[in-house]
Amino acid sequence: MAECSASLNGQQHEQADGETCTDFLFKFLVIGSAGTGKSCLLHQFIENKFKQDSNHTIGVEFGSRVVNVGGKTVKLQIWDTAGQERFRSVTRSYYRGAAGALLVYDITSRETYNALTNWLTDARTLASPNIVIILCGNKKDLDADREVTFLEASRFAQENELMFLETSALTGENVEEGFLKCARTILNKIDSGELDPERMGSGIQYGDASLRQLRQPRGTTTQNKQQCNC
Amino acid sequence: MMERAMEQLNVQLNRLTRSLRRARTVELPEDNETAVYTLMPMVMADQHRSVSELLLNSKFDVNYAFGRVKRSLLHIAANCGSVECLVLLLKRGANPNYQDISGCTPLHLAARNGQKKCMGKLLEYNADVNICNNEGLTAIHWLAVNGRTELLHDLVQHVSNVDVEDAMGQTALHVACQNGHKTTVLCLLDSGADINRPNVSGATPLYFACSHGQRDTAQILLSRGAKYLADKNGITPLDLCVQGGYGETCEILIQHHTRLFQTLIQMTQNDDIKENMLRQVLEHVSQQSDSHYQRILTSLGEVATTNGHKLLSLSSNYEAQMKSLLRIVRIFCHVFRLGPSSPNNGNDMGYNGNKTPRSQVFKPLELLWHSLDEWLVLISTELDRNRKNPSSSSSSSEIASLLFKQRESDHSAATPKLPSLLDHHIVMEAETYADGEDVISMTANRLSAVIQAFYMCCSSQMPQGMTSPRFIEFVCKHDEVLKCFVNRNPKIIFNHFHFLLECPELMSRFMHIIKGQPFKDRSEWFYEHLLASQPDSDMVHRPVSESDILLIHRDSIFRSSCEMVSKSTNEKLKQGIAVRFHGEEGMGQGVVREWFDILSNEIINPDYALFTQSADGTTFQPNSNSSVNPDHLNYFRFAGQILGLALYHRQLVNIYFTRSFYKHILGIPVNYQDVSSIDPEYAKNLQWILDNDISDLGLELTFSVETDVFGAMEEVPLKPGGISILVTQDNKAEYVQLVTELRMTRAIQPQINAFLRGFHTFIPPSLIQLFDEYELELLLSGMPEIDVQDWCRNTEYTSGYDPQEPVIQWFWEVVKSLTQEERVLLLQFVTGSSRVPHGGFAYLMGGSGLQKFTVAAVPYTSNLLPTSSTCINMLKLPEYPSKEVLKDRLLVALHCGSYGYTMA
Repeated sequence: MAECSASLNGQQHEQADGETCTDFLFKFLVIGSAGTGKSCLLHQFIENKFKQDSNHTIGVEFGSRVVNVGGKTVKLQIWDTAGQERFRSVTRSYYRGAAGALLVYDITSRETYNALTNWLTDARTLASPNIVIILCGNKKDLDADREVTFLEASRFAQENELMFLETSALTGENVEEGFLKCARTILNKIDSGELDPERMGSGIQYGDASLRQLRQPRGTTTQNKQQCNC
Repeated sequence: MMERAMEQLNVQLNRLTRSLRRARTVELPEDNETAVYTLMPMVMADQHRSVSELLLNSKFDVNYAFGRVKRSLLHIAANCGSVECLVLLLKRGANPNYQDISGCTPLHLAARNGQKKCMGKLLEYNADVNICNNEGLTAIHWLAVNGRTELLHDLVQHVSNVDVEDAMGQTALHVACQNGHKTTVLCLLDSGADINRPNVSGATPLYFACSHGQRDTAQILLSRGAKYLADKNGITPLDLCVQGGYGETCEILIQHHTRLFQTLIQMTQNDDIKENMLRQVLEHVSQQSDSHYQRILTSLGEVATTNGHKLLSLSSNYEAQMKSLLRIVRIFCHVFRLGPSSPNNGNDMGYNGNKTPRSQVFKPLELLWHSLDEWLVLISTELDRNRKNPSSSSSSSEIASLLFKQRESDHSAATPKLPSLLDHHIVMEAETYADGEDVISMTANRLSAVIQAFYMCCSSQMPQGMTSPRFIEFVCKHDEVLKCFVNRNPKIIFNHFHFLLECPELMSRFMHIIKGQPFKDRSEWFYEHLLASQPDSDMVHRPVSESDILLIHRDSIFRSSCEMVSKSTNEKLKQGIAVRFHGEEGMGQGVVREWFDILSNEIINPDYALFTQSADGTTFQPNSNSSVNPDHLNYFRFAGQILGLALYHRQLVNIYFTRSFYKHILGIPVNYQDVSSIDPEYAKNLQWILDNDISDLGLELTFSVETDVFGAMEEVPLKPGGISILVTQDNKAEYVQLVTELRMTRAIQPQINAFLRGFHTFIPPSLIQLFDEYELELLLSGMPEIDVQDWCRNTEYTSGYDPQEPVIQWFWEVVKSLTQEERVLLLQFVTGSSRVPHGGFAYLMGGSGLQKFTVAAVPYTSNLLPTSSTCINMLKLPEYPSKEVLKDRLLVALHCGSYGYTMA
C-alpha cells in the first residue's frame, strides 16, 4: 500500500513539472550566411510555423525546446546567429561551449554554399573541437531555383565529417529531424564516453530531472564520482 | 433499637470527626455530576487514599464524563500523571478506551504529556494504542510531536501500524521530522516506519524536515535512503530549504543528491524566490569547502553568462532578463566577497593579478564580457558609418519612401517604371542605415545592463571604494558608444550606470549629460544611492531605544544639540533621528522637523559669529572673522553635520546661503559675479575692469591686494611673486579670478573645510556633485510656494517696458503657464535665491535695501536669451516678437542658465 502511493506520487511529480524536467541541456548554434533561413528554421522548430515577414537577425537570438531523444528528455538551448558580416565578431563570441551546430546554406544560392568552409572553420576553432555539426541545405521547397545539388553537398559533408540533410523551413520538412539527429549524436557520444558532460565548456549540462537517475542504482556516473574522490 | 440509634450516631460522629479532621466531606454526594467535581481535585493531586475511601461505598459511575470536553476521571488522572488514582479507577472498572469529545483516550493524554507510568498502567489494562482521535492522531503521533523517544520505544511495540495516518495523511514520522526530534525519528524508522510516506498533499518525511530546516533529521532520513520527492504541487524539499533560507539543510540535500547543486544554482534565475534567502543558502554552501566555493561561483558565472546572452537577444523580455542577470551577478559578487572558507586563501583579494585560483571563478563570465565588448565595437562601427554618411541615412530613406510613393502612383497611372535596379539599390541602402540606427536604440538598454553587471564583477575584485582599472579602461575604450547611449536615452544613467557615482574619474565624462537631466530624476538617483549604503533600509520604522534619543534643551539649543550629536555615532544618526525637547513629551517627525528648523536658524545667529549676512540681508556665508570664537571650526563642522543630516533625512532647513557658499559645498569654483553677494560695489568694479580696456588707464595694479590683518595693512600676493606682476589687458581675467578666490574662498578656507568635513560625514561629495548651486538650495531649503499674482503686483519695469506692453503681457502669461519648479528657477535666475521673502514680493531685497523684481527691455536680436543681474533683481528681457519665442528663450535660459553662469 505504502509502496503504491509512493510511486504514484513519483509519477505525479513528473507530470507536474512537465517539460521543465529534463535529463540534459545542450547548447546549440545555428550558423550560416545571411538570408539562408536560419531564423525560420528555428522558428519552425520551436513554433511549428513558418515566419513570413522575417527581418535580418540582429546579433544573436535565443530559443529553446525540450525534446525526447532515445528515452531521454533534452532541453535544447539554441542560439540563432546573424548571418550578416557586420555581426560576425559579435556572433563569434557566442560559439564557445556549443555542443551542436546547424550549419545552414541556401540550395538556391551558390554563394551561401561557397561560404560553408569559412563557417565550418569558425565553428571548429571557436566552439568545442568535439562539436557535432549537421549541414542543412535549406529552402528545399524552391527546387526549381536550385544552384547546389544534393550530391555535391553530401560529398562536401562526407569530406568534412558532417551529417547532412536538406530542409525546408517553409514546409517544415526535415527541420525537426535536423535538430533531433544532432541531439541524438551528442547523446550517443555521451553514452560512448566520447563526450563528458561533467567537463566545463562541453555545452552539456545535466537537467533538473537527472535526479530520477539517482534514485535508481547509478551506473557509470557513480563510478566516475568515486574515481574523482580518490 | 437504642443500639441501632447509637450505632448510627456513632457512624455519624465518626464521619463528622473524619470530615473535620480532613477538612473535606467523607461521603460522596449521590449524583454523579456533583460527585465528580468533588473527586476531580483529588485525582489531580493524586490523593488516591481519599479517592479510594470516597469511592468505597458509593454508587459513583467511574466512567461518568463531565465538563465541556466530556472527559472521565481516568482522562484527568492520565493527563496529570496521577498514576495511583489511575490504577484505582481502572481497578474500579474505568474504561481505558473511553474517548472524550475530541476523540482522545486517556492514553492520548498520557502520551501527549509524557506520563510514562500512566501509559504503562493503561497498557496493562489493555488500552488500545491504535485508537485515533477526531483528527486521526494516535498515541504515537502525540509522542512523536513532542519527541518522547523513550515512551515511544515502549509503546511502538504494541502498535499494529506504525504508519497510521491522521486526517491529513500524516504519520508519526512526519510530525517527528517536522519538529526535528532525531532520536524519535530513528526509533520510528527502526520500528519500520515508511520513510517515503507521502501525506495527502504528497509531502514526505524528508519534505517536512526540509520545510522546517531540520538539518540533522534530514541527514538521518537521507542516510537511511529517503527518496527525494516533490509534493503534489511540484514543490521539492530543496525549494522549501531555499524559501526558508536553511543553508545547512540544503547542504545535506546536496551531499546526498549531488545533482541538486545545479538545481540550486538554476534557482537564481527564478524571480519568485526571495533573493536574500537564496543568497543565504548559497553563502552557507560556499563556506563548506574551497571546492564548494569554487564550484558555486563557477556555476553562477555560467548561469549569469547564459542570462546575459539571453538579455542580448533582442526578442527576449528586457525587464525580466535584466533583473535575472543582475540578481545572479549580485549573488555571485556577494559570495565571491565572502571568500573561501579556508583562511590561507582568504588574504588573496584577487586583484593582484588574474593568476590566483580565486579569480579563476570569473572565467565563465569572460564569455559574456567578450560578447559585450564585441557588441560595443560593432555599435561603434555603426556610429562611424552613420557619421561618414551624415544625413544620408535620412535623405536616402526619404528618397526611398518617395520612390515608393512614386512607384505606387506610377503603378496606378500605368506609366513606365523607374529602372528597378536603382530603385532596389536605394531601398536596400536605406534599410541598412535604418538598421544601424535601430541596432543602437534596440540594444542600448540591454548592453547597459550588461555593463552594470560587468562593473559589479570588476568591483567585487577590488577593495571597497576603488574602481577596477580594467573597468576604467573599458569605459575609456567605449567612451563614444556609452556617451551615445546616454545621449539618446539618459534614463540609462539612472538605471544602469551606477558606477558613475562610485568613480569620480568616470563621472566627469558624463557629468554634462547628467546635469542636463531633470532635477527630479537626479534627486531620486541621489537618494537611492545615499540610502543604498544603509543595510536595513526597509526597516525604517524600528522602535528607537531610549539612549538614542537626542535630548535637547530649548534654551541652549545650539550647544545641547552639538553635544548630543557629537555623542551619537554617524551610523545611528543615519538610521534615524529621534528628538525630544527637555521637559516635553512630544516626539516624532514633527519634533524632528521643528528641531532642524530652530537649529538652522540658531546656526546663523549673529551671536555665534559663524555666518554673516550677505549684502541683500537674506542669505548667509561663513564669517571670515569667526575665529573670535576659538572653537569656531568645531562649530562649523557641526553646522556641516546638521546640514548633511537634514539632507540625508530629507528635512528642510531654514537657512539660505550665498550662491558662492553653495558652490563651495559643491566644490565648484566661484567667479567674480559671486562677489556681488558680499560686496556689490566691488563686484561692479571687477565687472568694469573686465568690460573695459585697461591698457592705458595707468591703474598700476599688481597681482596682490592690501588687506587689513588685525589692524595692520598687509600686502598679500595673489600668486607667487604677484607683487611684482602688473595687471594688463591680457591677464586681467586671471587677476579677477584670483582676487575673487581670495575674497570668496581663501579668506574662509578653514571654515569651508571644517563645514565640509561635517557635511561629508553624511553626504558623499561624489553624490552632491549631481546638482548645481541652485538645486542644492532647493534640496536643502525646499521648493517655495510662489504666488504669481503677488509677484506680478510687485514688479517694476524699466528701459522702455511698461505693464501694458505686449511683451510684458506675454511674459506674465508664460509665467502663469510654468510649472512650480520652473517658476522657482526663474526666481533663482533673477534674484539668485529661491526664497520669497516673508510678506511677499513687496519685501524683496537687493544689494542695497528693498529692491523690487524688475523687468528691463533689451533690443531683440535673433537667438538672444534673457539675462539677469541678481544683485538688483533685474530680468533683462529682449523684446521678443511673439509669446512663443519668448517662452522658448526663457525656458532655455532657465534650464541652462546656471550652466552658462559657471562658464561665464
